[in-house]
Amino acid sequence: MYKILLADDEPNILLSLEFLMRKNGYNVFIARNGSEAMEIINRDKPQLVVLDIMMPDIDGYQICTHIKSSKELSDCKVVFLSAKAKESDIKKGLEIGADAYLTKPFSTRVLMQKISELLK
Amino acid sequence: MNPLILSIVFVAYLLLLFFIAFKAEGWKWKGRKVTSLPLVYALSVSVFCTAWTFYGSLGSASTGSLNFLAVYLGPTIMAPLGFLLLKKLVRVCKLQQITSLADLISSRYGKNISLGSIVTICCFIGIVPYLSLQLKAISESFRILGGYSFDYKGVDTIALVISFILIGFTVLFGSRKTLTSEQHSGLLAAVAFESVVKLFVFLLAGLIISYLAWNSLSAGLNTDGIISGFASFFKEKESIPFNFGDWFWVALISGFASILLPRMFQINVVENDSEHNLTHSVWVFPLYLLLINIFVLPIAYAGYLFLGNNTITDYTLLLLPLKYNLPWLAVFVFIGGISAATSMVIVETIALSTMFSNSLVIPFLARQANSNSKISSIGNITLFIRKFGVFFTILSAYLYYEFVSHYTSLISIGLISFVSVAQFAPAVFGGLYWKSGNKFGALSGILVGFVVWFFTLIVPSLAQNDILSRDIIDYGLFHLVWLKPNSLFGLDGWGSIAHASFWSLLFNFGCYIIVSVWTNQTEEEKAQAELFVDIFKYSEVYESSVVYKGVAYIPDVKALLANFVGDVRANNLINAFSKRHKIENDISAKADPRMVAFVERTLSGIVGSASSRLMVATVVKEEEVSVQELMGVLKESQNLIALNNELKRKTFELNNTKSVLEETNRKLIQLDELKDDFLTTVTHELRTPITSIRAFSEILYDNPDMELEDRQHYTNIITRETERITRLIAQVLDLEKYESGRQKLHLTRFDLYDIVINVIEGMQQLVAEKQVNINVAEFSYVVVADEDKITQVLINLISNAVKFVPQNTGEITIDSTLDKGLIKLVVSDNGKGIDPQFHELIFDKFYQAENQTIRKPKGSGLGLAICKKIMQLHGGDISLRSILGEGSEFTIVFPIKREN
Repeated sequence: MYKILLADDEPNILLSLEFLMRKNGYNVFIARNGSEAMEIINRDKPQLVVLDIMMPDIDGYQICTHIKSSKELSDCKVVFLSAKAKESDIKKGLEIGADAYLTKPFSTRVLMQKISELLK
Repeated sequence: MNPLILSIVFVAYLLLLFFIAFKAEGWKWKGRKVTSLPLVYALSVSVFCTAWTFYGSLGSASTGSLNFLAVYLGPTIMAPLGFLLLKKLVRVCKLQQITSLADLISSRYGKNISLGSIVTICCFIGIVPYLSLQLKAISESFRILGGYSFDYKGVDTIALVISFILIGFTVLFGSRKTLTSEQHSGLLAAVAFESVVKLFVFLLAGLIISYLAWNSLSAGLNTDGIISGFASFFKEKESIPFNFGDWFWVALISGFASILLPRMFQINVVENDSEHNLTHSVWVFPLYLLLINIFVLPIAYAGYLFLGNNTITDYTLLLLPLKYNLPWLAVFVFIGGISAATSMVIVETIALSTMFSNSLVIPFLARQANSNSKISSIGNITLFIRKFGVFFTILSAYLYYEFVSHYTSLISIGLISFVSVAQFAPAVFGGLYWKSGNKFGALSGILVGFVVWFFTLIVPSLAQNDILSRDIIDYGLFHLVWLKPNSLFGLDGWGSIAHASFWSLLFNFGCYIIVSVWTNQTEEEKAQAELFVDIFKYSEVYESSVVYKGVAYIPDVKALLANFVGDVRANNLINAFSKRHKIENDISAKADPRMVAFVERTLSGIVGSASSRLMVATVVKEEEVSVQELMGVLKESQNLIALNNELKRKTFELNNTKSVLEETNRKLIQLDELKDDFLTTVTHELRTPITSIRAFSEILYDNPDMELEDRQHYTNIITRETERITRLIAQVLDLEKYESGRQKLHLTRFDLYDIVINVIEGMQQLVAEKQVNINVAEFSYVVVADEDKITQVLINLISNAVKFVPQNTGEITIDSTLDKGLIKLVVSDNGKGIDPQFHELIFDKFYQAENQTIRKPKGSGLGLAICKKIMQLHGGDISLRSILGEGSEFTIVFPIKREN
């Protein structure tokens, strides 16, 4: 069973994501801010992380950079899910190694399809 | 007292003076050269006070007369007026490199040689007796202390030795260098030091003597007795009744003398390196005069009481310490007397020797020098002439002292000298302010004034000593009654000084004006008159605008200068000048007119203006330049400067406009960026609830078999997120109203306490759910404000607090105070606190700007930004103090009564 981490500071979004992941049979971890996310990533080594960018302490870019630069986490996929929808934001996210970048509001179907593709 | 000790003291004092004069140029005080400190300069002006002041005032006061005070009153009254005069004199002399009184007069009246020579000769006649007075003072004070008799036979060897020591000293310091400006800054420091010494000694002796005299008097008398005795001393002894005429004339000529005495001119003008110095001397000098006269009357009275009548009253100050058996004080007084005498002799002699060489000897030689080799020989002997001038001056003073002066009191000689230099007043002051004054007027005025001076002051003393027939005094010259030297044209009732001053100055001024009006000026005189009188108008352009119509070659000009300053120095000076004015400086080139003028000025500083003009004429084939041409050039230069200033002003204005525009542009760009930031923030804020709404809508659609409970929960979320969007839109619109200034306050009177209670009641349910404890302090302030808006702020602050305190243990405290008309209301909680990095940001509507990836704590939205706007609209403010993990404290402040 794949381990997926959901990191976002908006409880309602987390709730919807959690529902979707469980329904698709993933093992779900939840982080409400950047430092919680870091902790879980290092401890539980999820196969995929759904990352918000704007969070109160550590931002999503930093977390992604951490994952992509760590050998132990080489299998971990990163999907950005952010309200930052500008061309330049998306480009930056992909440049630092994200596997996908979806903007809020998102289509639940597209997100789930992306995740299952990445985890094949 | 042992004469050997006295001699040692004398020599030691002079050595100290040597030391100061030699070393002072290197001394610094607070980063400035000691010799250019304004105070040093101001003190050196007190060279006005000679041995005549130091000893002679007492001599005069001891005879019961207060007339000596007029001598100090004059310069004091003159000081403010003298300030303006001297400012002009200094400016003129610096620009034209004038280094003596004779040179000044000669230069003003067309660089006339005979005028300079006559002024020099008159100065000698007038000043030499005054110099001898100083020798007399030193010699006699030495005799008194050393216990010598005054009735010596033959030559006064003491005075002779002193004369030679002074010649040596003056030659060393006064004629070391010939180069321009004639300043001797080390000497200036030495003179300032002497001024301090004489004042200090006089005050010290005055204090001690007054104290001792008072003590011995109060043994027999009470205070009133002493004071009435003191008063009656002056009443009884007043031999000549108070006479306004005497006071007026003595004060007037003393005032003139404080500017026109050669030594005063030397210090005030020649040694003065900045006009700014005058603003200090204008008050230091009168203050000095006041201090040095303060103890004259008490000491004179003490002298009268304790020395008896048969004594040399001039030396009361020296005799009293001996009487009281205070030999050390007597030695101090002796040193004070020396300092007063030597400073005068040295400065006066330097001034006179400059005149002697530059206005008498060198012009005479220069008139015959028609080739460079002859001028070169003058250059070689200039220093020698200067030194000879020193020797000649002091020796003349000695000879006068030895053969003429024994019968006169110190004070009378001094005043006679004053009257003699006052004869230059019409020529000098007139020359500075009246363009039509010319050389014939000046010449006739000075000559007539001197003749009258000689006749009214010198002839009587010659007759009294039987050198001339006494008939002149009794029956008048040629037995004409109206030509009696003491009552010319029947004028009686004034003292001899007032009498002589009146007649000599009357004739002098009369001749100066009448002859000047009757005769014509030469072109050169006209030019100089223009430059002197309007110096402040021209000084800016002076250096670059002097005209010569003539041809000269640079090597000739350079060689001329080199005769006096040496080849190296001449080269340097010419190179520096041509660089400064961007003039061609080629060996084969013709000399620029400005350079010729520069050389002439430089030479003026060395040999005087008249000789300099003669010498320059030998290398320039010159044509006469009319005053119109000269003025034309000066005016043109002035116009250029004005034009230049106008251009500078315009450029400055343009630059100002440019920077204002740049600033405006910058602000506009900033505003634009802020607008962008705001849009980003708002859209971001909108995306979040929409995201939830979409996600849950899709979930509900895709999962029709969901449990009812979950379904209700998710639809409820959708509803609340929709409300959130509505609220946000309302806030944006609200904020926009504040921004645009359309939001108005609706003022009413209400009690702040009631509002707080209402707000809390409105949140009852929320509070109960979270089990928060809210403490509201007891207060009651009736305020005038917008009730709805203040309520809005309170709802925001209190609901935030409720939101962030922990479940069950939450504590919120609300308190309010009034201070100086300002209401302060604090809402504090024990919530999780706010990171310091957000303390400013939290009140900012643009909290999620372009490059920002860290998010403000959730839930604050635009609420606090609106709170801030509301408080600002009330003339108040909102602020935050918070420690992470311990709690937050929001404070609002606003005036208790908001005026509309």
